Amino acid sequence: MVSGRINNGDTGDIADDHYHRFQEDVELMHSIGLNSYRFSISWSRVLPRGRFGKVNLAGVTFYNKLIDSLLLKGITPFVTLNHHDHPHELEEKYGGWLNPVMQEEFSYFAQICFASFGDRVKYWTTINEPNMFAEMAYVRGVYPPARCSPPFGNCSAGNSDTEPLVAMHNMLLAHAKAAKLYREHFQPKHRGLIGIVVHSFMYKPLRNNDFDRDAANRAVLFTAAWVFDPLVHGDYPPEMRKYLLDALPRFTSDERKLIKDSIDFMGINHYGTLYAKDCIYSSCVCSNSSCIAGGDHPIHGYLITLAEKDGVSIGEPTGMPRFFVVPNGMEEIVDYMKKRYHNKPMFVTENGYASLNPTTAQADELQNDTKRVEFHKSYLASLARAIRKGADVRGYFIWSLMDNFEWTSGYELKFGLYYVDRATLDRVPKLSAKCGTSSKKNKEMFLHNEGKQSKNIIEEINQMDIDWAIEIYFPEEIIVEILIKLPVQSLLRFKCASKFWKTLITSDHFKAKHYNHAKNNKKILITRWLPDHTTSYYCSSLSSPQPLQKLGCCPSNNKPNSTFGLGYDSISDDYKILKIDNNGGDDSRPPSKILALKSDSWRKIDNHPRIFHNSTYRDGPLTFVCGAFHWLSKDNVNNYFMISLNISSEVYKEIELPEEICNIPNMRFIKRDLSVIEGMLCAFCSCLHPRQGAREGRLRCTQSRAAATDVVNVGSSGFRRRIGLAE
Amino acid sequence: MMSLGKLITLKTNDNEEFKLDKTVAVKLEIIKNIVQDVDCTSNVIPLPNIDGKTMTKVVKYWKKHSEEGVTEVQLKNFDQDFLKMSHSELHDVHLAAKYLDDNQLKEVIIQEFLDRIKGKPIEEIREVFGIVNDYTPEEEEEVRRENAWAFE
Repeated sequence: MVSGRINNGDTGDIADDHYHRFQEDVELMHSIGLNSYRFSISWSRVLPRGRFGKVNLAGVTFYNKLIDSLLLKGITPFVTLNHHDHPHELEEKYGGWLNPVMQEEFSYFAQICFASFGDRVKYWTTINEPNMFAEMAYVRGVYPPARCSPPFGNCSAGNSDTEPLVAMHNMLLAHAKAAKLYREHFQPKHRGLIGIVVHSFMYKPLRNNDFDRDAANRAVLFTAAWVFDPLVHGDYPPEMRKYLLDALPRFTSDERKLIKDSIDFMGINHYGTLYAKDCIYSSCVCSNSSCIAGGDHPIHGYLITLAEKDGVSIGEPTGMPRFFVVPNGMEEIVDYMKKRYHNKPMFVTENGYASLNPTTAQADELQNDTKRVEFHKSYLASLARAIRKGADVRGYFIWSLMDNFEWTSGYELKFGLYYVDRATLDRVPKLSAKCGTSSKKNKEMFLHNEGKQSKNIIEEINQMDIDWAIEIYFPEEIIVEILIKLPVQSLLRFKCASKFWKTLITSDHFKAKHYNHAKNNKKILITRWLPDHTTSYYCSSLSSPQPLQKLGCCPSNNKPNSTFGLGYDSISDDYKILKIDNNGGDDSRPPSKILALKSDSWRKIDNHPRIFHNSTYRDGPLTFVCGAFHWLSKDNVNNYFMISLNISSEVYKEIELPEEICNIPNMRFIKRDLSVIEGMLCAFCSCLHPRQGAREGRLRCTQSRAAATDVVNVGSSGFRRRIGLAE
Repeated sequence: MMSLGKLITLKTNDNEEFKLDKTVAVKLEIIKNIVQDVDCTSNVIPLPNIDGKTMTKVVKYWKKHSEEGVTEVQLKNFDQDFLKMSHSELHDVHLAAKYLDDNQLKEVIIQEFLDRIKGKPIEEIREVFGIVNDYTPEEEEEVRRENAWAFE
């Protein structure tokens, strides 16, 4: 680290020494009931010399151990790949993010991480706050590489009007390349999600006029939307183009395709709200320390942001000069994101409170952090309002677990739930950490929010007696644990419980879990017959075409000319398979066998009233509808009739076929069969008109087993599709 | 490590104390681990995530299930009685079992939830899980239609 610009001469060399104390820290998280931990993987620690150097195995081992310890305690790792720093050599050699080569460097690093940790890490974010990084490193020049130009700052080199735009352009493409890599090579097997984290302040107009309202709008566009617009919509916000003109790089059409929709979720870091003042139609003079110069430059959207209006500050001050407590801002920014990005899933990846007067306060004073408790309580309540209005917020992370190295502020700024004694590095729980433990439940409830999707509570702050919390909160994992044990039929029904349940039940992740559970417990979910006419059993869960695997539950002596049916018996709450052997029965009476999955063995049932030929050779399974298997048969004088077998009582019944299906004079190549269409049992036939050479289809459907009623007119065209067969 | 035969005290977040015979307690993985970790001078194990009302139930379950000479049938009857609680109480016990790493108790509760929802109409499922229906009537009808056979 190059020293010089950090408060107090602090460095991040040791920081909180998490590297050596991670096990203790994981315990700490567990003890206060956190269920997710967001951390970054240091690029330099894994690839100290970039893509042409070696992987540092010690670094990989550390993250492996950390991830394993977290999982062991039931804490979900939520990993950032790049959090403001990269290997020094890449800065020396290429000039860092100003060089497009960083896109390749980053995706190589990302690939190493996906391959090393992706089997256990299911939440990835590529770059942390690229907008804040571009601002601090290339506009104001306070973060390394500290490049800027007046009036933004006083640096030895740089151009505050253009370089941040170039750096951002490269970071966005680097993200998109890494995301593409993940989606193509890792997501299919690891089933994780990838997103990006953006610094997202909220802005209010300083004066009640159109200029400042536009300015407040531009302020969001030139900060958060600068990142999200390209990654969701495929290009920078039009307003940025309007003011920045050609200084703003352009995406080629291929690049646009690459970046568009390249995030699965949005990470929102929200710390506060400021006033925005227009500088196009009015003059802007920075008169106090909380204002950033440069409102007359397009890079900031021709506006300045202020914390005060008529001498009154926008909210209670915190230890950070431009961070004020404005709880409403949370609801507003989440609302904004919901609308602009079509309610893409969001995580609040950071929200936190920096203690006031940290230098003069005593340690015990710092630990009694009632203000922090209040802060989170009010921000969570605000977030809850946004969620209640429909925002798809999936989790909330507090910044931070413990006081840490806060960039240029060194160790002076304190955001932690734990106080860290700088001499001993001991972690001391503050009030905010302690009260967290006493009522975990209250807090979990908070994010549950009346059935919307925000169940995946990530980090928790406790002691939130939010009055509207509903009585029971089930974390998603418990719901999943219960649901995977249910048969398909119940699950399909449960899709109607709420939108969230529908999303949950139809998610690939759930299907895979359900399928595995069923496989391990030898339960058939749904059979699929493959087009090769084999009668083996194949199963797939919830009608997803993949994965298809042969289950070990079928009898080994499958004769190729047996016909199978699978049905669910609600009385015994069990699946049953009916097997009919087409030949080989004594006196032409085919023996039928039933396998109930609970008993797991074949049982012969032979109480059919008369001898029949099972004349239909099916491509697919026996039709199962209304609690009974159905198939066609014919008697010794070639009269066709329908047989049904009730799955619970195992009683046969014969059903007459409608005349026009049975009696088809002057036709050839007649094929008759049954099918289920829209829940109705349908008998159909198709035949060839000998003179006209055209195939004709006939179909009759019935709502009940008793009698076929409505004739459904179907011409030959589309007939096979209609009855569920290939054209 | 504490010496054998001592009583172990578990203290919930509302300061209720449960004295547990060590032979009962060490059957549980988590308690065993905590017992090993706990400072020798103190026999009190804090349970910051569990309240006294819930812990009373958990301890009752443990005691019965570690009794000598209880028959399968007796245990089954006990479980049946034990599980007679509200959805939210059941849920609290599940969270406690989860925190205490007691897989057996967790399974028992999951099974109870399964029994409570099996074959029930959607309205009752919503009640059990505290789900708020966010479908419009038309949307719900649509989903029902798509999965018509499951409602037979």
